[in-house]
Amino acid sequence: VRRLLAVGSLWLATVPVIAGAQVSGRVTWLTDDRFRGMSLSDQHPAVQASINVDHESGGYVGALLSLATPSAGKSPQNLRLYGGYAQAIEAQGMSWDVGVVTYRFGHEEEPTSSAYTEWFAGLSGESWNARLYGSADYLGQGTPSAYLELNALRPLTARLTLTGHVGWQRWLGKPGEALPRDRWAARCGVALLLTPLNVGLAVVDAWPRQGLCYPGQARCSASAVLSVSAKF
Amino acid sequence: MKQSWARLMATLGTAALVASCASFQKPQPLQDGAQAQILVMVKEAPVRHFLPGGNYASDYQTSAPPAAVANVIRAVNHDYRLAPLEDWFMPSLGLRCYLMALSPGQSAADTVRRLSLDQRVESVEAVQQFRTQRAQGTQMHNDAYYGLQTSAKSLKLDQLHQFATGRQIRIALIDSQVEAHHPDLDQQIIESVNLVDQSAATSGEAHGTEVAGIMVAKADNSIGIAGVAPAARLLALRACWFVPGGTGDVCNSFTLAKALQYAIVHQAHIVNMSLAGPPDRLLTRLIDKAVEQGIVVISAVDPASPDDSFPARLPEVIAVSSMGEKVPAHAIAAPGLRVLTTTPPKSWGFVSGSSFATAHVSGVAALMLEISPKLSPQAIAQMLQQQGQQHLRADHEPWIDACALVSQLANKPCASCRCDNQLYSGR
Repeated sequence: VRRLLAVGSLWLATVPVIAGAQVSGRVTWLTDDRFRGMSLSDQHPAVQASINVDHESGGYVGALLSLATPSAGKSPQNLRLYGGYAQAIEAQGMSWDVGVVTYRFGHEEEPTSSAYTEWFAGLSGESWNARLYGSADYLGQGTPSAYLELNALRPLTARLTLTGHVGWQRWLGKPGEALPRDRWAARCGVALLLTPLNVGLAVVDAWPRQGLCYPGQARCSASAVLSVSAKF
Repeated sequence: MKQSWARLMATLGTAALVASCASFQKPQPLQDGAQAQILVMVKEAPVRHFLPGGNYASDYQTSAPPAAVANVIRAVNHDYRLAPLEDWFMPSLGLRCYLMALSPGQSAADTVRRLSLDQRVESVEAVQQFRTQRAQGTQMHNDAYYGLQTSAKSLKLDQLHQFATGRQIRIALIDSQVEAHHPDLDQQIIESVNLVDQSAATSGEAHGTEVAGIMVAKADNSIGIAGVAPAARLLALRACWFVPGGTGDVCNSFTLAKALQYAIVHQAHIVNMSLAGPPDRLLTRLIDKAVEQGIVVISAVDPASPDDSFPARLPEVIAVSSMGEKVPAHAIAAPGLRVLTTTPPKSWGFVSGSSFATAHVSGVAALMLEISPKLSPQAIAQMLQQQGQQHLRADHEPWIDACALVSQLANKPCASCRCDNQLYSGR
């Protein structure tokens, strides 16, 4: 934790204090920290804290730290540091963005070498977004990989929203471990706005499940994820 | 390690609690008493972009203001003793617009002046009132049939509709509530949005229903009247409301701004604003943006101040007066006296005013756009004006031959529809 916090602090310290920057943050508690169908918390509850700095020029940077409940003497953690540039597409009510995100994973007792960095480019509309990610060393496998995702929402009432995510991951080379060349991830859920909290319930899964577990963990299956978050 | 983990959890929990306590309560927006309200615009720097964890957490929301903007406005409210009533994201301007109530005894002019110097605020203005342009004391009749629809006869709708009916054209009607289930309007409305309050308005209000009927009332359904563009479809945006005992329906800067933003985002082809009021900076910016994106904006001239009517006085807006009233130099005149149209509930009646002249021009613009979808707002305005300069009525007033205009666009000889003097331009 200390090392991840130090890296995150260093990252944010590089953000100059400039007029026109807007800072926001979010704290989320969730029953399972799922990432592209994979549980990063070994299917245990986790707490996430994130901070995001947007500049009026369109540039943005931020960090997210996720800490899972310790289990079997281990406490999976991950840190995501990102930066990018976004602009609105006038007339369409849409926006595009490009950026870079780096992931650091680890256990307090057993640091892993799954760290990797990827670039992304995306397009967002009023109720959807599509984004393509590319990495030269996805999950530390030494092989390029791409991930294409589509997220959408549909308001059901003023407070209740249906949300969905579909993602397709493809290795662009042969991974170091015996992993499937293609994998699909999906999530379907509802989000309830109980100002100032957001409560979400979603079902998350991925296919095929081979090699899906967090490195060193045994459990991997579909999961119903309950989350509660607050912005500040 | 477990102790430090527990401490972090406690810290995060406390932060969430503080955040929840700090969020403000939203009173209902006032519809009247505009003097007590101002609009505060804050630049919303973050367009939608990548956020880690956003796809799996529950707050994939786009309607709520980003926390960063909320933080700014919370500080502004504290410093200036303002009470937030409502907010609206305006992506076409990159702003979030906040409707604020002043504290008792607080001067709107002074608060606007002080806020305009505050760098946290992009712009600020007082909320102003606008009125629909329906002549007062109009005699209403309920026994309607096509033979009484004199404006349709003078426009030669039967012949115009051989060339175009407004197919594939979306008209954003910024007005009071349209009666969606009126027998002559049923299924003519693709979306009905209430931008005035949270209520689910179901019954129609008079002005909106009247303007809608002139533009898009169903043709050939054996009842009622035929609209100028019966195949066009309406985005019925309720930004005005009926005031009992008042002098007509009213709207304000905030509701009109929301409606304009909605029309821009939903890519309306035409915006009909049968209303007028004082100059307004936010509305001017939104209208500029709409026209820049190819939307034709048509607005009514207030006969009480024909040269100063806003937004009709804006050069990018097609201004419309009622025939028989003073027509400003930049305006077009159209039938606006004793026009038969739809009225709520499920009825028809005669109305007068430049509001209804505006509706006729919006209908004609829809016909023009069906034939030539790539016509720019400037081109449409220019064609209407130029047509007027080419012809003279018997009383030497310049006029626009709508039938000739549409038939020429359709590459059909004008003589085939016996062009007549329907619309005429100001001098």
